[in-house]
Amino acid sequence: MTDSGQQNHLLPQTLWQKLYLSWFIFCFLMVWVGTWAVNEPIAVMGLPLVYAWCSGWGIIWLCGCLYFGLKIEQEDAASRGD
Amino acid sequence: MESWHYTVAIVILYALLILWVGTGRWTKVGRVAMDDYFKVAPGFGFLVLYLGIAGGFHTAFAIPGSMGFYHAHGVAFAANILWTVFTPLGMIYFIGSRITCLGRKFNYITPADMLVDYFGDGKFRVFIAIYTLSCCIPLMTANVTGPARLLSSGTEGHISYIGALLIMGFMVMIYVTSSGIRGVTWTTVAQAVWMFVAVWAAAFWCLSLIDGDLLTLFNRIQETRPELLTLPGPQGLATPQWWATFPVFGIALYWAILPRGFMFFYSARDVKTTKKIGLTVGFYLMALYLPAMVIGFTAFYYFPELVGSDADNSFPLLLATYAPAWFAGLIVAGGLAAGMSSLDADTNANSAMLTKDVYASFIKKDGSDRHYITVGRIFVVFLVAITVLAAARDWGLVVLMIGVTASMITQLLPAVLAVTVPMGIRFTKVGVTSGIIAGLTASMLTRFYGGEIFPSGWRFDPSFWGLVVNIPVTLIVSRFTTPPDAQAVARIRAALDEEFRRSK
Repeated sequence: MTDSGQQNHLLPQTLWQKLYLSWFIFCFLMVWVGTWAVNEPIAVMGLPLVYAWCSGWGIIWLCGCLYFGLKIEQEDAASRGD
Repeated sequence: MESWHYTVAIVILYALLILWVGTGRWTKVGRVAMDDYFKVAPGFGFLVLYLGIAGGFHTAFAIPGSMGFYHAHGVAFAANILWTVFTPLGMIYFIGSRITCLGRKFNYITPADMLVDYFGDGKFRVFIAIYTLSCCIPLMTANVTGPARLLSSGTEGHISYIGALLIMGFMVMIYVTSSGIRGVTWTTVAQAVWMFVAVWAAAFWCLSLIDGDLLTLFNRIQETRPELLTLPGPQGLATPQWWATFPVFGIALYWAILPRGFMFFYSARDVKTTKKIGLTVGFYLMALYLPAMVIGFTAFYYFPELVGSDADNSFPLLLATYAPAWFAGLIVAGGLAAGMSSLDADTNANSAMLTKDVYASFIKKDGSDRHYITVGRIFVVFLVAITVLAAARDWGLVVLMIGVTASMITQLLPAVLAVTVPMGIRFTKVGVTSGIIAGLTASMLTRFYGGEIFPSGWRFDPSFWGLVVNIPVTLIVSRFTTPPDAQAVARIRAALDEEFRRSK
């Protein structure tokens, strides 16, 4: 069923790729699962807590992956000798 | 002048701007070639494609649909944050960049081009094209319905719903037939900016309307309907099962592999451009939905009695009742921008599939590129006409079909992954075809009979159930059927290794 001679592109290779994937999964779980832990009608700066939690983690998720993604780009450029 | 005249004047201004942007000299190329009409052969750079994808990925659900969702289901809408971030960082960054890589290397034009290059040509091409096309017609229809209602309400009915549909259809027809993907992308750039300004302006106007700040709005909702502030929402929509599967399987996984997504990825200048868009476009996608809560809750505060599909009309009603006419015109044009930016991209992509995958593959194989582009333009007219006709009829059926669309496109995911992400697993043409059919059957059964089949704790999104069946069927059937041509697989794999696994 498998062809052992080929590289598996699903698996991250470098440290930055592993960090990107780990950060992606962590933040995803914070929104996906964590929201249920804060499911209360409480205002945070005037915003419903569920909304503030999801938006906040969404921004953290984006910023972290942007940082790791740019590091992957730098690493990639270096490996190409650019 | 009556107030609705101002609204019409601003919408006319918007229409002229879009027609100018969509047919200007920047959308023209000297070369007459299919790969420079349906996609951009030299490729777009970061900024243009960024705004093109940003606008193209937001449909009429952005304006006015999202506000109606907040009105009906409250903060359950926050589930959309999952897709606005998951789709760029997961699907565009990881899969979209690979589609760009293969599309540029082998000059693909349609989604089927990529799949048949790997799995083999023949009837599989037409199967993929027709299957995908049948998914996309309802999506196109949905994109004109909401904005047409908005335009009709914003002009106090002086422009009828049908008239609004015809205006949108006519505009899209003009610039897509004139300039293909270039017209689509340049207009989407303008539309992305317009809708972003419109939605944020609307949020600040709503705060001024309630004469307070965010906390004032929160307190008023807590006093009138506190269920809007928590999950699962007043109607019980956002159950743990819905939350766990709808944003990812019902939206995120399929949104980037819609045909319009393929055309954008094929039109990127290089892999780096697509990756950068993947890393950053989530900021735009998310920021467009953030003000929707303020608008939806304000609309609820003023019109709490609206229920069902009338909730979608809450924002248009708020505008028509309280907004200055010029401001309503700005927002109405923003709604048109949201709908048209997806409708045009879908029309171009579907026209490409009909031309390349059906007409050029089975009806006239030896035509010139000029001939095929002419045929493509005829298909554009045909597709827009079907869309307008469908939108003028049964809206309930359209809503149902949008859900079906999500399930259908999601079933293509194993085939797309098989081509773009080498992972040492055997996928065959018969395997993925069987998986698509089995997955679609499972998702349809759960969509229409899920309430009878499953206990309440098992009512996950139908697209999820489709994949649960699709993946094992694909793998098992692939185990026993003829593998794709080894040379084609090796060629595609080498291109991906060269781009993504070099010197690591």
